Amino acid sequence: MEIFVQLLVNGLIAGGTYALAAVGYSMVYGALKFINFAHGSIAMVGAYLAFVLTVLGNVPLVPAFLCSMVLTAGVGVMVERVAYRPLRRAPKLASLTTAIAVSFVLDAAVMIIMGADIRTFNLTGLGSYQIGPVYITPVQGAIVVTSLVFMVGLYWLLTRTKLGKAIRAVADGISLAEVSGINTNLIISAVFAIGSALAAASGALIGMDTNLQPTMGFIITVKAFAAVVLGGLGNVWGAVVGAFLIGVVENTGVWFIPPVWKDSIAYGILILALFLRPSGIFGKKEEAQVTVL
Amino acid sequence: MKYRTFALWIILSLVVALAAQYVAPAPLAAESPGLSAAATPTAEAAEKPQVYKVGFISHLTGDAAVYGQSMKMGTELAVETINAAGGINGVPVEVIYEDDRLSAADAQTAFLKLAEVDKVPVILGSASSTISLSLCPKAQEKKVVQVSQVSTAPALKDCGKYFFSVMASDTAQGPEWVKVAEYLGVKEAAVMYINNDYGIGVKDTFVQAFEAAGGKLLIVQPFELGGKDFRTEILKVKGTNPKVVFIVDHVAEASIIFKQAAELGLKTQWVTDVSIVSPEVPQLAGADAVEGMMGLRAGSTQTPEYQAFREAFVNKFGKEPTIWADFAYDAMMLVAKAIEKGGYTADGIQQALFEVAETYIGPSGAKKFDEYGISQGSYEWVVVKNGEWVLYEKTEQTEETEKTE
Repeated sequence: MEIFVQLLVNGLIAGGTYALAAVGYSMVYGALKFINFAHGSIAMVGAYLAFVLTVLGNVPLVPAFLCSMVLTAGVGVMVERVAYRPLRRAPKLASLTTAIAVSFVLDAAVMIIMGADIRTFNLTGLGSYQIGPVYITPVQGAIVVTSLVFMVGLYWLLTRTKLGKAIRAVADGISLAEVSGINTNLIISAVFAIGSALAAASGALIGMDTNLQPTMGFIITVKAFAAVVLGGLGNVWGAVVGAFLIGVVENTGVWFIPPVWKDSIAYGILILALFLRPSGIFGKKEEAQVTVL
Repeated sequence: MKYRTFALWIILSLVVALAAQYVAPAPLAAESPGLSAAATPTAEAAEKPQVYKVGFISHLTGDAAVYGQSMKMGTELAVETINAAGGINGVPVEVIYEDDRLSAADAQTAFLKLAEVDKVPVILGSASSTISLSLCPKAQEKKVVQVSQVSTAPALKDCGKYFFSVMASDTAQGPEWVKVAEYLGVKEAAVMYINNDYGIGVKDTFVQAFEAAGGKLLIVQPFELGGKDFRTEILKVKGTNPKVVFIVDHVAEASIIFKQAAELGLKTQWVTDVSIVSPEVPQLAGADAVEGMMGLRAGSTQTPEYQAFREAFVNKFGKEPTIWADFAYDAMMLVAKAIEKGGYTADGIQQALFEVAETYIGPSGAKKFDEYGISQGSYEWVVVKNGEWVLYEKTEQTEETEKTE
């Protein structure tokens, strides 16, 4: 029994990192209706920026973490400006292919600059705490807290601010938003900035928990994608629920079945969910149009 | 319309890129479809080329880049040594490095490029047993000698006459672990293994030998290559309260496992396979997490050959030799000696390799090949002390490394 409490906690920790990545993924889909396969690579860039600042630049961890989010937001905006905007009116397949290319470019760039070696934040000295039957490390505590804080922040941003309103308007219908006087280019840049910043947070936290590799982006993309589709494409809160669901089921599932199936678990739930609810858990059934909220 | 122009541009640039690839070796590429692979190397050897090209395929990027990059450095050092001494009969050696990203498909592409375009009679690599196994049928078919530096899966002995490995087969590692278990006096142990050809090979030989010696296995837990979160797997092992856990893994996954195991409060005596005995592991996992961990190291760091190699490596790269750089060095040295003796043809190299390996002793030890072209090896026991792998001081037995057959 005690072991299952630990498994549940581990699942929530994994879910927290997936959730941060999935939210940005989902927001971009909501605004542009295209699947940004470079999202995981952007998370990886964020992780490396945090690494460079802390380990090589000797910046304290928390400021470095926040700085990397800001810098990665810039990277995200730049990627959108250079790679996606020229193709915005092209068929979605073109953007999709471009996104895959962007992920290769980012992975290769980091590999050339930083090398293919595995890097570490060296946070092991922090040890771990035992709370009842559960072991948790400070980094893992930070993962859960950070993802909750950012989720609440995002909720506030999307529902209570003008920017949030504009983002939702763009997600509802980009042409309609444009005729209402919204600067859609600016809003889409903002979506990429927020999504990339959250991806950076996710990448940096994963990096602190499990070390860094230039190839780490791919698995983040895969998990975030599963969470987003499970939650209902474009639905931010659905993505959060999907992420935690996948994290928990993966971690408890491996207890019963061989780990070779671990990544299949995420997709197993996904397929099952899509059979029962083709538009995802929170996707609207009737409408083809998906919304951010 | 705009779209069509864009598409045309893409197609045009692809065509240019393809053309560019074949411009240089155009005459060779043109005749390659009808070419009998055996004929080429002989023809080239006759006129003594400007440079002896040797192919190299390994994981230079991707999850296992730690090994590929390390072996590239070992190979570079060997090439530098050979060329500084005047090359092979005055002809310098050049290694063409190709990346397989730990993917069998990429390895095939790299191999075809080396065999068809560069026309090398010999390639070094790959590191991973899985990749080497995927390459060896092609190497037999195209008659290219394949010298793997560190592939050790038992299945490799059936590869054919053009395959060589300079590291001993895994059938030796399992029994060595049993010796560690006997030395530690444990009758019950847990095993964790990475689910690929290498991991399964080591696990199987150990399980067999350990049970034959009367040992009891508490749990045999697999885990996946490329994983990041092994907490559930670790908890399952922890649930059996093992005094000793034998683990066969790669650097990337192992460092995460040791870190997460320490975080989850698994206190045990770890004993690792040869792939984990790398200076990166204590750095990546955290020195506290792996303090006191035992492991097997292929070859010996105590020989004069290794000491000389170590010094040369530090001079060239400014750091201690990384994992298996010594094996990569020896593979290149053996190939150079074989070219010198047998000529720059696949068959010449294939025959000469057996002869030159008879007497060769390099930093990774003696490299004599058995009938399958696989070197015999020995292991030394190492332990992590203050975050570094050092020689394990056995209290009762001698410190000599045991010869394994």
